[in-house]
Amino acid sequence: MSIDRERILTNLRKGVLEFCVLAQLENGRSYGFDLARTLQTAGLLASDGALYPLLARLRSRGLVEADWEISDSTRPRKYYELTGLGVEHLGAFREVWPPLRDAVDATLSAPDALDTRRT
Amino acid sequence: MIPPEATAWLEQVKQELAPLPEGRRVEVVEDLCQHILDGLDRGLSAGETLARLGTPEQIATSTLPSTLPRAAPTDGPRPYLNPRRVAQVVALVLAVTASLALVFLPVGIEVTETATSGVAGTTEVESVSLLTEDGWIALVPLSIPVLLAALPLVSGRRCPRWLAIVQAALLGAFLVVSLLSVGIFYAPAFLAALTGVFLRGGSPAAKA
Repeated sequence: MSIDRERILTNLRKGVLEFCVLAQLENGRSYGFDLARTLQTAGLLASDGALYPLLARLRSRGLVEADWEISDSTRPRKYYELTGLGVEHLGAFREVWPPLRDAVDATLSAPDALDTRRT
Repeated sequence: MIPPEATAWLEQVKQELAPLPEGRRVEVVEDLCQHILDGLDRGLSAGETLARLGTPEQIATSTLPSTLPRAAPTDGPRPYLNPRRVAQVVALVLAVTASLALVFLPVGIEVTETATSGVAGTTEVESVSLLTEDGWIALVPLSIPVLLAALPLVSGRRCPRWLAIVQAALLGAFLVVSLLSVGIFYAPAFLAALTGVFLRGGSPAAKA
């Protein structure tokens, strides 16, 4: 039973994680370690390592860009930043997410709600 | 400095992420390397950091099923159609053509002497194909270059350079041996395979 629960969670996270990463970067540029800690603490990331393939994909799609920089650390660090395209994607997600979330919530709490609203 | 246990872990990640385009894989491993160094900077042990990162298998399963299909449109042509693959297909066609030519064309000579008692015989020289000369057993050696040429094409979507080198070397060796018997029939296939070694083997995005 616990295996099913984990699979459900994994699939749901896959769908929303990239937008959560974009939302995190909307607050300002950040680097992998900090992003991973924040997202894992929030329960959005199963393991820190899952973040990096996602960041690479977002970068290749032009939603984020990466820059090496020496800041408070003595060695260069790779900082990720939201691009204009990333902002647009995040905006689109913000539009579609609330109705979807509400519909799921409504359906889960009262399975007849969907039929009622359609009729 | 990356601790040895983390180096081994990163190697495993590289292997698990092999289906990803090379550029993407290098980027992920580089990021993971930075993450480990950040963890050490913050006083975490390598073991703690690796435990939080998850196993290489977990990273691969969180990545591959959803990443690969979605990456295809932005990664340009499918990796199967890269220049090296084209050269290898050409090599296979040339190897098959050479083998068919050797099977059916009259490339050998058969000498027949007819003699009757007390009378000088006649000697007939006739050009024959290997099939006529040796029978179906001739197909065995002739199938070797075809199999060698087909080897990288059935090895998966991306042919690594080392496999292209091995293929060209084996075809080259077969060419040298065949020069002593059937001639230069397999030289074109060898040259095509050799060309494949020097051509790009991944998708254009893989180098990005």
